[in-house]
Amino acid sequence: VAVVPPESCGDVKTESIEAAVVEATGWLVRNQQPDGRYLYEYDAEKDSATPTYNEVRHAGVTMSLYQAAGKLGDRDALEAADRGLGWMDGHLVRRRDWAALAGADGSEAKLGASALMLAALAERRVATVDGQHDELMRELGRFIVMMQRPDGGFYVSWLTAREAPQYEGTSRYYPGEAFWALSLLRKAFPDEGWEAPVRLAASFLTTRRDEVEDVSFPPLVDQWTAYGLAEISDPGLTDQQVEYARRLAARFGLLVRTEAQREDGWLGRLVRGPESRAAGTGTWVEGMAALWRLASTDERLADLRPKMVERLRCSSGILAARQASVDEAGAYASPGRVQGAWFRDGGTRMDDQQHALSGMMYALDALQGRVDRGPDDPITSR
Amino acid sequence: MSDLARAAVGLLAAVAPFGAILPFRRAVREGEATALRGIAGAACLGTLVFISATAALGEPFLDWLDITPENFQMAAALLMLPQAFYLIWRSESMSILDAGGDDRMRTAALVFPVLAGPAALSAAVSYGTRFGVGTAVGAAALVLGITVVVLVASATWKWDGWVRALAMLNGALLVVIAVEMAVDGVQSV
Repeated sequence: VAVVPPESCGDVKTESIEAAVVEATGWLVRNQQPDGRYLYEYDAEKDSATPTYNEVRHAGVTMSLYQAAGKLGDRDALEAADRGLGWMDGHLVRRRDWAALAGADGSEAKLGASALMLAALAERRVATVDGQHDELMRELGRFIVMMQRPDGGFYVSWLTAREAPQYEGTSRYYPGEAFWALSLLRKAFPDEGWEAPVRLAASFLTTRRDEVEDVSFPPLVDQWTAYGLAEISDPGLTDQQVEYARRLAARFGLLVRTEAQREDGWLGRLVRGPESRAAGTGTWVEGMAALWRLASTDERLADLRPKMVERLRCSSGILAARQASVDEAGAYASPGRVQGAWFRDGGTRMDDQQHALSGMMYALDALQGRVDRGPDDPITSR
Repeated sequence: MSDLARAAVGLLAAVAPFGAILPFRRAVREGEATALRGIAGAACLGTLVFISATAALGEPFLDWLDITPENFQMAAALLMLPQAFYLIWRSESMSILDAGGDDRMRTAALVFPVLAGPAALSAAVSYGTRFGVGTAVGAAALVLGITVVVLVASATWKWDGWVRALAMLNGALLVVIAVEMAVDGVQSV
């Protein structure tokens, strides 16, 4: 006990986790601006917002809102996500047969932004059974495939002034985001030839990425790759990919166990470090939930299921307990900007809510034994 | 390697029969040499019961403490290291045993904690939660059977150099086991 502190999993009741999902969705919807952008970064102590923005995170938040719209049947979330989509539409760069999401100045289209925009559109399609953006999905898919290198990795961005990819540098997470997006595209349009780039990306991520990125303790903690592997589990992964998934699950598990040992007192911070921000913990929940889904269909990982569910309950409980409640929010100048968010050192950023929201939604699937990732009922039929 | 074999190797390193030889010799008085079978048997039987109970109660105990078995494994590795380094540097198990008691049972009671120390008990908890209580108890029975044989046979070993070399090897094995246990704890979900 002296060497290993006890673990605390917060509020692990299913209804508390469900309530936290609703609150997080509410924060994102409530704090959206008229032009479709979300509240990017907010300091509750100073009641001030940071005047910066990030299109990759914007696309990620929109994706989570579409997931929430489908899972919760939440029309407010759908409308907010559609407004977010409108902002992205206004920042598209189109060439020949492809489209890419660029930043505010239009000089660069980062791979991650287009990948998460494609994932958002795929989630919208699943939630609404509405094919109005199918062609845009294909355009974004063609951009991602164009950016794929022969080894399965990806160039990081498209430089509009140079009309060429940025050949220098790599990104740790964009390849996983691209893989996840292409895997969703493959699922949406199974007969359109997306299989080969998806498999090539999977091969790169599970064999070469850690080396290319010089990851000190592989595998890289990347929930996007976990999402993608779960999505391509039919017709099946190679043994090497299953082994990679096993190691990735172990890494998520270790991080959750370590986080459960943290406490926010001065001694706890000194000995164990500060509590992780929700954007971190949320990605571990997302990754573990995706791998639980994979383990539910691939018998080679079946032995991990019980422990995965334990970790998902614990990590979701931690998030539920750390979320700002309505009572806590009442003590601040702008309660609506506090309630339902996760703060560290007084600040929150929109991806804190994004990752916690997506993670807890899919953790609930695991806790309730729902293997199918999509909504039970499309939002249009309600 | 089967789970039983892995648990047996780990428990053998943690119980450290070769490291127990020198403390055992000190505990058994010259005049009691003929009784050493009984003392070794009683000490090992007590250790087996204790280790088995520890393996059986390990999981509920960790549950009660809100510690996952996987995190405990990393702690168990740390708990093994003092014993391992003591074996390597001093060529015997950690012990406060300098002399035997007045009778056999008392002597056995003094030998027992040399075998059932923190390393052995943390190994019992770890293997009980990792491989199952039955496997851990089976492995413990095997290891303590070997320990009785080693302790009894060691009475006829005239050259302490071999005993010390075996104890050091036992310590080295325990370091390997501790590292494996820590790595497995890190690599577990």
